[in-house]
Order: sequence, then structure tokens, then C-alpha cells
Amino acid sequence: MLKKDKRVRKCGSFDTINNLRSSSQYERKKKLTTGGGFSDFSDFSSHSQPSIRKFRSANPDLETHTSKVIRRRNQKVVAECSWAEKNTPRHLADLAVHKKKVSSVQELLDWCFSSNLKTAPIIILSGPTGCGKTTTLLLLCKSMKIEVSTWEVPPNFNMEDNQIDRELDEYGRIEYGEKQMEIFSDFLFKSNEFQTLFRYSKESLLSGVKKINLVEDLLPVFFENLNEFHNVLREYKRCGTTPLVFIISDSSSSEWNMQKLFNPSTTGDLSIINISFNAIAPTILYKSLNRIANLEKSQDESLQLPDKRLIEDIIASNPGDIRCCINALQIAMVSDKGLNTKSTKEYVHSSKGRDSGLFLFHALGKILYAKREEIHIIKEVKEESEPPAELYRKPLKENPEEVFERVGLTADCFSSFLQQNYLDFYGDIYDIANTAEAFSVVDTMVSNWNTRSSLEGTIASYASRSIMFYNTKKRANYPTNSKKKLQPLKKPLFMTVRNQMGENKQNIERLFQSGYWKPLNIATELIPFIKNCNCCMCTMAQKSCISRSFSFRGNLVNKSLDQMEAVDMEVTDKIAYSKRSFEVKDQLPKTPDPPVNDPELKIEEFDSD
Amino acid sequence: MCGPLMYAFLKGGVPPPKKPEKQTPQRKNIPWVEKYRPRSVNDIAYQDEVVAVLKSIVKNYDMPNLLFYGPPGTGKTSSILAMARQLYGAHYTSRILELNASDERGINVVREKVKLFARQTASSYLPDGNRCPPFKIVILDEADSMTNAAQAALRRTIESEAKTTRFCLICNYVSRIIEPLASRCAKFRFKSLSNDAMTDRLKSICKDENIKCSDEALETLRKVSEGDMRKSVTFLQSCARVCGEETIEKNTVLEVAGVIPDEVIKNFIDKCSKNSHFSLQTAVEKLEMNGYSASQLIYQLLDVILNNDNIDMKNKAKICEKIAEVDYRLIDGADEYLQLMDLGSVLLENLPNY
Amino acid sequence: MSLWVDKYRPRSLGKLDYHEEQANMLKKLVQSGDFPHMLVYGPNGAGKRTRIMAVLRELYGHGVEKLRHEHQTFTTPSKKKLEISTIASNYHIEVNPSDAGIYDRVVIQDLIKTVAQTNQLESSSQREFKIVLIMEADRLTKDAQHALRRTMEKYMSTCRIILCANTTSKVIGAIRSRCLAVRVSSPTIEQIMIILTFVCKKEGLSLPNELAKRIAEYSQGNLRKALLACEACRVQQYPFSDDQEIPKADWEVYLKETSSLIVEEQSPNRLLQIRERLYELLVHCIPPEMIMKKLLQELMMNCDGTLKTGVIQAAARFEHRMQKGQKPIYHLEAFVAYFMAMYKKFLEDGMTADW
Repeated sequence: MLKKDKRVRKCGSFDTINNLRSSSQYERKKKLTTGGGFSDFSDFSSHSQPSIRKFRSANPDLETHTSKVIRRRNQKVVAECSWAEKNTPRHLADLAVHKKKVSSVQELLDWCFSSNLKTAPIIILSGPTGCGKTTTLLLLCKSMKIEVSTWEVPPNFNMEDNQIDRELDEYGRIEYGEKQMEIFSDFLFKSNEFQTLFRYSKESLLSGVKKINLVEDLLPVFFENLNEFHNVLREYKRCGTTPLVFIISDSSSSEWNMQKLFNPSTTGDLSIINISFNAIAPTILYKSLNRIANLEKSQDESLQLPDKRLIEDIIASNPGDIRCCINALQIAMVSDKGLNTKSTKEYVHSSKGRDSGLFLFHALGKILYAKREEIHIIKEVKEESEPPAELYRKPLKENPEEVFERVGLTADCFSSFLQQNYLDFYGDIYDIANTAEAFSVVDTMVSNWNTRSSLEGTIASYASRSIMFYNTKKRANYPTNSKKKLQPLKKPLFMTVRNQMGENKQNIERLFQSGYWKPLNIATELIPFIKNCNCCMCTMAQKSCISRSFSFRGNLVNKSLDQMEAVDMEVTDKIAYSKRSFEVKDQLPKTPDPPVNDPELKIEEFDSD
Repeated sequence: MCGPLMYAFLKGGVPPPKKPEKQTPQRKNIPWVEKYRPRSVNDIAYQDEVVAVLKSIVKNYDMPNLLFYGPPGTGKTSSILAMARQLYGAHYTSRILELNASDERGINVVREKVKLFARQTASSYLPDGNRCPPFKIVILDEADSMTNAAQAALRRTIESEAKTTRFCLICNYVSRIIEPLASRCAKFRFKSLSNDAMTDRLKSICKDENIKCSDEALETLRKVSEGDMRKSVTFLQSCARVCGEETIEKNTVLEVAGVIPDEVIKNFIDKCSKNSHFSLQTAVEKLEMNGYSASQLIYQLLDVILNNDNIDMKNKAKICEKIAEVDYRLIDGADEYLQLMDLGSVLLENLPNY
Repeated sequence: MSLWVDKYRPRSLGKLDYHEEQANMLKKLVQSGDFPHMLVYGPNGAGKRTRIMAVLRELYGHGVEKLRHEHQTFTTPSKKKLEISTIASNYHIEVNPSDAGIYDRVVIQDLIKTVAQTNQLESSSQREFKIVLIMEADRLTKDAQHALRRTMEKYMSTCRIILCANTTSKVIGAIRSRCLAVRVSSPTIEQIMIILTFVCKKEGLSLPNELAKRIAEYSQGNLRKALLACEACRVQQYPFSDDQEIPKADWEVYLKETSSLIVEEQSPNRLLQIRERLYELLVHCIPPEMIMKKLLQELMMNCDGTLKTGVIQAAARFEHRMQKGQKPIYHLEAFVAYFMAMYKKFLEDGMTADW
């Protein structure tokens, strides 16, 4: 392993020009390259020629996984080589993913190849970015001797140009879109042919032919021609032999998410198996970072070992995303050379991942606790313009506008976090009434399209200052978590509620639609009625829908916003996802149940190790 | 395939003169508003000052850019169309371009269309050899709903096409037209039609259409349409449809116009002066069950409150303020029940108790 | 599954149970051949839809009852594709453009255009126009309403539009003045009672007058609700008894509990609990304005007369903001918090006054 590391290091320190060139190349490709370029896997990649391999083994690694980072950060710092790539786990044991999850994926893969499946299984691995989906899969494949063939976006395909084309020429776009879909289906079906070809190659003869198709890049075409996309999949399901794996990040923008691509009603017949990954638990992250730090230190004496606090800070600022964490660690340690620790810390703070200057958890705390200076300003002369005593507050320790600026969220998002959590900090209902009123105004301000963008700062300031100002009687004893000293903060439930609402509405329309009923009346009149009649006259599907989502039993899950969790609003979608995967499971009674869909696994604790 | 009449109708223009006795069933579908649009400047009711100016334009072929403003249904569009008809005779459709701001909102669309239209040269002779003014007319209806940017852009267009094209802007509120644009036009205010002018017109339509209408109904019709000729004619047509051969009565008019009977309003006020929230609640629920529109209700309520001398001025002011607020909220789409409750609670506190 | 509501729905104008005069008028209108655009409005469950379908049947005969569900795709100017489900027969098409959100204008324009231009009517039908039925017209954006107004004029010769709305307040004047407004008010308690008894008789059941009255009162003029409640009563207990409990909608019960929780205690913790409950209601697709309305009604029953004005005004204020905003929970919660504060103050003042 050390040897390999050295090799990579050598390649990595080629020169910056090489890096730059390839980085610009990838810039053009718009991050479309996949994780298929792992150095260890270049051996497997069927079409690699020596020269190419050399190139691939050095730079693409660096590019693929850190291209984002590189572009954002100082080029000089990263020029050496990204530790994230260097330290990509090479053994399953090194993997920072929860063991249960790994073994569930492994069992699933086993299942894919062991049993005599008539149809090609389609698998989705979903989860927040940087939680190790791709790495897990690739490592497993390596250990199980499974060949991975990765869907790569055709090199001549330039997303950006396409974008422009689309706006310019309607017809051109459609043709192009079809072409892309064609290429995609070519990729899928070709792999079948290849399989037979490679059956006689040396390697595969030895190992027995095992192969999967991996799709990580979702093209816009898939979303635009959903039907066509599904048809391709159906066709593949019918004729294909190789398991097909999709890796999808949860945090992609709302329009491009998994729900849209694989909604249960249209893809139920595809019997898709979904494994959702959780963000990597902080304890695991901590271990991995420590390991890497020590490893690097052993190679380069000039590096300074980070103290515990720094690592914790890094983890807190890049919740659950190991890739970002390692990058931050690298920057912290490298730039530490010859610098004093304080500035490094500041650097870590100021460069926290995901561009957020201040981690949300702390930011919210600053607003919600609203700490004030303990000094009394004694005024000699009472001025007339002075506010009455009940409106007087001691000076704030934190400036809310600054906090908002550093947190790097939209005012909408920021205020919904505040709204979700402020109640826990109030001790007095009068104060709450005032604050709730303020939030009501905030919502109307946020919803006004014309003024929203120009009022961002004002809205955030209004929301946070309302909380800070009105809370005169803070709650004496916060209902604290036994482990932590701090009040647990929660994610806004509203997004979850909205998602579930939409889902329920769709189900209603699907199951109960008849000529005379409006969805609204179904929800408010028909369904209560059916329940009152003990569901005596409806179909099984309707019955299960009602019992699943239309009973008042307080089954809303509110996730607490752990220090370590991702900040994206979209993360709340995750709950909906995992719910969905149950549904999908329900619909495939025939296939042997892969153990991965065990509901228990989804609710696993972070701390369990 | 479709007659000149349908053609004109689809073009949004005025159907050419026709003889009433030659009506086919298809023609029956034409809204009376179109059917009874004034054909010549002289036919325009009640707008004497404007008519005088338009007449001189017809005579001298000297037309400035025009800006017509005034409440809806007072004859703004009719006037310009009638004038165009007189200027260009039967071929007037080829010489005018009617653009509706709510139809094509984008300034680019407006500009392109205007440009294309202005590019065609206008000779001072019509195909049939008659003399006519050497310009075309662009009519911009609902100009006040154009954005300020669009209006600013129009300013340029008006100047650059001045040789061949005259513009006629039509709007309800002159204050919504930006100053530089308004200053390029001759402004004419159209006033609400007087009671007599309106009744006369309605009567003549009744005669032409051969429908019976009681005087009381006619009076109500005039009242509910508030000086808006188009509204009154539309209502009359709807009434005629509903009643068929029978005489149109007051109640039909009220129902068709969606006006709430006075008794209902009075009842509501009575309930509110009982100083009981419970009776208020039942009153509002009843209104809701009857399906009366809340915005219509507060509109009529305002009249009643204002004319009620038993209410103290200060209380009146408070009520009116609430009515204004409720109206604003209703426009924003607020729930009618809650808003009426709100208004009712203010009435409760400010009406003299019986 | 055939509910009584659907089973005993009158199919023709002649068979409508109430508002007979209006039915006659509609009949005449259809026969006159000069059929205008229509705007049918009235409260929930008053029978708007039933009347519209009866009118359609009067116009075209049984053919309109052969319904098919279709999905139509529309493309917005920004090239976004929308799929809207429609219900159509050979003679009419029904659409709920509020499904399309802010793109409803596109749906309106395209749909009417296609309907008006495809002139594939059977020669037997004698009508030279098709009907476009637009549900929830009061939820159309202003933009769509303006577009609709122009479209209405443009395609008058080949298509008529029937708008169905709960209220005319949110329909712009230009459309109102182009349509024949038909107000469908709720049936009275007596009318509902008659219908309930009639339906029960047809089912071979005997419905006590007292129970019929209670169901009718519970329904608040919503015939659909009354029939459903009656059928639920039947399932729960037969033979009927006068004092039989009418099964209420669970969310109404839930809201009632919620309101007594509010009155019971006014504290931050309690508010947290209420918030959970409000979320729960929202998840069940109960429209927020309905929650607000019911909550107000419940709270008014439980509070002192001097507070009522304040409660009403707060509800109206927050409901309005709710319409302007995007997150109903903010406003519902603000309303509850406002009430709690007011109520607590009232209690505290009462205590000090006693001293």
C-alpha cells in the first residue's frame, strides 16, 4: 500500500501544468466524469492503453473527486495531490461507511450473482454527497472480483453547449435529446455483448464473469423524457443480464432528484431495489481523519498533527461528507507549515466546506441563545427619545446580520430553521406570540417574488432580531439531551410535511379519482367517511393507503439537526425516500427479499459502532 | 367558409352593418355588445366633447395620437372604431391594428407587430378610389396594464413611426400611463354614462331584439351596471336568454348581475347590531351557504353604511377602514368566511345597538 | 363501490331535488340554442357539479356520460413539460388548471385552442360547439384569467366555457361580465332532510326524522357531507335511533381536541404540541384555510365574549398572510400563539381583578 502511495505521489507531483490542463478539460466536461477512474480499477477498465492509463492513474483521480474543491480553492494548495484521493480506502476495513451498510450492499451483490435471476436487477444507491456510496460499491466489486463498467457521458457531449442549443433551437434539442438516450441505451446493451466477448479474456476466465453496469451521471434528458427513460430501463430489465446500479446523491436540486426519476407508480414493474446511505457518523469520520493525519505525518515530517479540536471543527463544518473533511484536513495541515495554529483555525473556520462560513448549528445557536453583554450602561441624562424601559435590552454579543452572512443560506432557509427551533428557547407565551407574528410576516416577505432577492438581508435580520429581542424570559431549563450540553436543534419539519402532503395528494388522486370528486373533497369528506365505515367498500390499495398515510397517530419523524448532519434543505427529503423504498419493496413479492431493505437498517443510530 | 361577420368577429373588430331580419341561428351567438356598437361617431352616446373632436378629425384628416381614458364601458373602444370606420369605410380592418395588452404582454411582441404593421405604406386612396387619410391607426387597448418599461419603449416607437401611423391608447386610469407617453397624446376623458343616456340605449336594444322588460327591471339594470354600458348590455342579453319570451323582472336582473338583494344586506347588518358573536357567526354562515360573493357584499354594504345617518361618523370611519382592508385581503385570495367574520366583528362594535 | 352520493345523484335537469326554478331556467337556456359561457358558483356540496353535468346531458344526451380519463401534456414557454389529467367525453372536456400552478395560463390557452380547432363533432349532436369545463376557476391566477377572457371571445363560435367556482370574489370582472352567472346556493335543512329520507327509502331503510334533522344540521348545507354521514350512520348502527351518534370526520374531531388543548394550557411546551398536531393535519391534505376556520369556530365556542372580536380579527389577519405566504404552519402557529397569549392575559387579569 505504501508503495502504491508513493507511486501516486510521484505522479501527483508531476507538475501543475498537467493538473491545470486536465482541470480545464474537466471543467469543460462539467464534472461529468465518474468515479470509475480509480487507479486500482484502471486495471479493469477494458479499453485503457498504457499511455492513457498513466494519465488516468495520476490525474483523473485527483480531478474526479476533488474537481469541485479545486475550483473553489487555491490551486497552489492542492497542487501536490489531494489526500482524499490518495487515501481512498483500499480495503473494506478502511471504509468509513457503517459496517451494516457495507454488508447489506455486499449481500445484495451476492444475491445479484448467486441466484438465477431471469431479469437484470436494478439497484439504486442513494444518500448524501460524500457518504461513500461509490467507494463502497467499487471496493466491494474489487473484493468480489466484479467488473464495473461505467456509463460515461460521451466525450463530445458538452452540457453547456447543449444548454444553449436548447434555448436557441427547439427542434435541435429534441433530436439531441433522443441521441443521448440512444447512446445511453447503447451503453446498456453493449455491455451485454461485451460480456460475451470478455468471457474469453484471461482475467475473466480466472475470476468467473461478474460484471455490473454503473450509472452515476444523470443527464437532463432522463428527466425530460421520463417515459422514454423508463422504457429503456424496462427493455433492459427484459433483455439485460448485467445488474444495473444507479448512484444518486440526495442533495441534487429538487428538480433533479430521485423521486422524480424513479417514482413508484411508473417504475413499480421495474422492481428497483433502493439502498439509502446515511451521512457518515462523526465518530467514524473522526477515526478516519486521525488515521489519515497520522499517515501523512509519517510521510512528511514537516506536517503538524492537528489537535483534537481542529479535527472536530473540520467534521462539524463538513457534516457527513468524508471527501470534504479530508480536503479540509489537508488544507489545514499543509497550510499549517510555518504558520501559527490560530490562523489555521481561522482558515478552517472561514473555509468551511459547502461554502458556508459558519456552521449552521453554531449560527442558529448564536441567534437562539441570544447571549447579551453583562454590562449596564448607565445613562446620566435621560433623553426624551429614549425607548421605555421595557423595550431596553442589553447589547447583543453577536451581530445577527453577520451571522446570517457567514452561514451562507438563503433567508428563507435560515428563517425556517429558526422558526422550527425558537419555541424551545422561550419561556413565556407572550413573547412567543410576538415572535410568531414576526415569522408570519417573514413568510409573506419571503414569498414575494418581486422583492425577495433584494430583501434577503432584511428578512433574515428581521427574523433573527425578532427572536433575540422578544425572548425576554428564556426558558429556565432547556429540555437537554443527556449526552450533550446544548439544546438539540431540529431541521425544519415543513419540507417533510410538504413532501408527504404532495405524496398523499397524488395517492388520493390515483386511488380515489372519479368524475365527481375533487381531491380536496376526497381528503376532507370521503376519506373520513370511509374510515368511519371501517373501509368496508374500498379496494386493498385504497385501504392500505388510508391506513398508511391517513391516520392521526403522530407518526411525523422530526430529525434533530445534529452537529454532524448535512445542511441542505433537501436532506429532509431523505425521510420520504426511505419511505418510498418500502413501497417499492411491497410491490415485489416474488423476488427473494434482499436483506438490505430491512427497515431496521434505515433507522440506525449514528453512535452505534 | 365563415361570413364576413364571423371574420370580423374573430378579428375582434366590429361586424359590418347588417340587416337584423336576416339573422341566422349562428348570428344569434354574437354578443350584443358587438352587435350594438356605435357605427359612426354620431352614434356615440353622451360623450359630447370627445365626439366634437372626433368629428373634426373625420372632416380634416388631421389626427394626433390619442389617449382615451375613463371608466369601463363608456365607449372608448367604440369611439375609435367608429371613427376608423368613418375614415376608411368598409376597408377599415386593414388600416387598423388592435393590440390588447393583456393578450400580448411582452414589449417585444408589441414592438414587432407595430413595426410590421407600420412598414406597410398607407396610401391616401382606398382601393375603391375614395380618398382617405394617409396613415394607419394602432389601437392599444388596456394600455395601463402595460409595464412601465413597455410604455417607455413605446415612446420611441410612436416617434419613429410618426409618419405613417397614429396611435390610440385606451386605458382606465390615466395616472398609470407614464408621463412622457401621455404627453405625446391628446387626452380625452370619457365620463360615466348618465342615467337617461343609458336607459334610452337599453330601451332601443329591447325594441330591436323584441324583448319585454319591465321598467323596474330596466331601472335595476341601470343601477347595477353603474354607468358601464357594456355591462348593462351584457346583463340584458343574459336576462333575455334566461327569460326567453317572458318579461324580464327585477329579480332576474339581480340574479344575473350577481347582485345581492337589499334584504340580505339589511339582514346582515341587523344581525351584526345584536351584539352577539353567535348571531354574527350564523349570519355569516348563512351568507356563505347562499353562495353570495363576499366582495360584492362588502361593496353593497359600503353603500348602506355610508347612507345610514344613525351611525356616528367616527364609527363609520372605522367600518369603512375595515371594509377597505377586507377588500384588499379578498383580492389577495383570503378566505371569505374569515374576512366577513372580521368585518362583522367591527360592525358589531361600531353599529348602534338596538 | 357505489356511494349513496354517487348512486342517487340526479342525472338530468328535470330530476334535480331543489332549486327547481333554476333548473327550469337552465333547461330553457339549453333549448333556446343560444348557449352562453357560464359561471357556476356556490358553496361546497351545494350541487354545482351535478347541475353542470345535467346541463351537459341536456345539451348532448347520454353521450356525455361516457367519460374517459386522459393525460394531456403542455409545454410552458420555458420548455417545461406539464402533465394535466383531464376528464373528457366526445362533447366536453374537464380540466382543473389549478393543478398546473403558475402555469395555468398555458393550460387554459392551449386546451381551449385545441378543443376549438378540432372540430370532430358527430353530426348527430346538432350543436356546433364543444364545452370546456374549468373547475376551481377561482383558483386561477390573474394571468390565466386574462388569457381566458381573450380566448373566450376568440373561440366563441366553436366552444363554450363553463366555469365552476366556490366564489366569484376571486374571478375578475371581465370574466364575470362575459359569463352567465349561475348561483347554486346550499339546500336548506328541510331540503336536505327530504333528500335523506328519500334516499333511505330507496335503500329500504327508515330514517327517523330527528336523526335526519341532526345529520342535516351537522352537514351545514353540504349535501354530500350529509349523505356520507347518513351512510356512515347506516354502517355503524341499523336500525337507526334518534340519538344515534353521527360519525364525524376524524380531522374535525382532532381539531376539536386541539382547540381544547389550547384552552387548557398556554405554555411554550403546549404550543410545541399544537404545532405537531397542525403539521399532522396538513399532512392529511386538510387545506390550511379550513384548519384556520374550524379552529376559529372551536376557539370561539370556548372563550369569553370579550375576547371573541380579537380572535376573529387575528384569524382573518393570519389567514390573509397565509394566502400571501408559502408556509401555512407559520401563520397557524402565530394564530394559536396569539390566542394563547390573549387568553392567558385574560385569565391573569381576571385573577387580579378578583383580588
